[in-house]
Amino acid sequence: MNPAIVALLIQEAPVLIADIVALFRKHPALTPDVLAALVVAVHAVNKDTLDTIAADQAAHPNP
Amino acid sequence: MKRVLIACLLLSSCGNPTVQTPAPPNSPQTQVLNIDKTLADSINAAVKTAISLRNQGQVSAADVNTIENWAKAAAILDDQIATELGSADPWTVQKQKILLLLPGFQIPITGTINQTLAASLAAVTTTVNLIRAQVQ
Repeated sequence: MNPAIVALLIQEAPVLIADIVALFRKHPALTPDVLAALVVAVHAVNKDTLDTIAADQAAHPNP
Repeated sequence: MKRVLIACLLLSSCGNPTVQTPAPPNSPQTQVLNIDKTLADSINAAVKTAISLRNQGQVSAADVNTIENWAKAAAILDDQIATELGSADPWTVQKQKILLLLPGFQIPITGTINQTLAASLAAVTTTVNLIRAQVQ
């Protein structure tokens, strides 16, 4: 695997795992698989949005 | 007596190895989290559509800059909704907090814009309204 991807996973994983663990503890009646998938997905999409904007604004400074 | 208890515990734990996790309850938190994911996708799509249209010369750089600045705030709000749904707050409190976050998604461009971009932004508004309907 690309070392940059490994570094990114190592950097992001603790935050995601902490979020998921917190959800399991606070909503024990909910299904962990469903919640975990949703939380990871929401974080991932929003991170991609912010990364896309940052890259685009760096390439195209304020008009 | 202790041995009997231990044996009973072992038998009861080993005797039913196929116990399944209950089916996922259709909780309000799960429903709103699903819509929140759709909202994240809509914001992401709006940004990428705006960039693509600007690169094709169909949308002004100023409009794209406005949309990107709005989307940065919107993505953060979207994450806050997910965080609130995972908090220890009761559903009634979660609903109130999420309701207060929703005005932050207000689309910043109201004038005439490219139809494709307008449709992309309208999808965001529609999804925000779906969340509003769940938490009102």
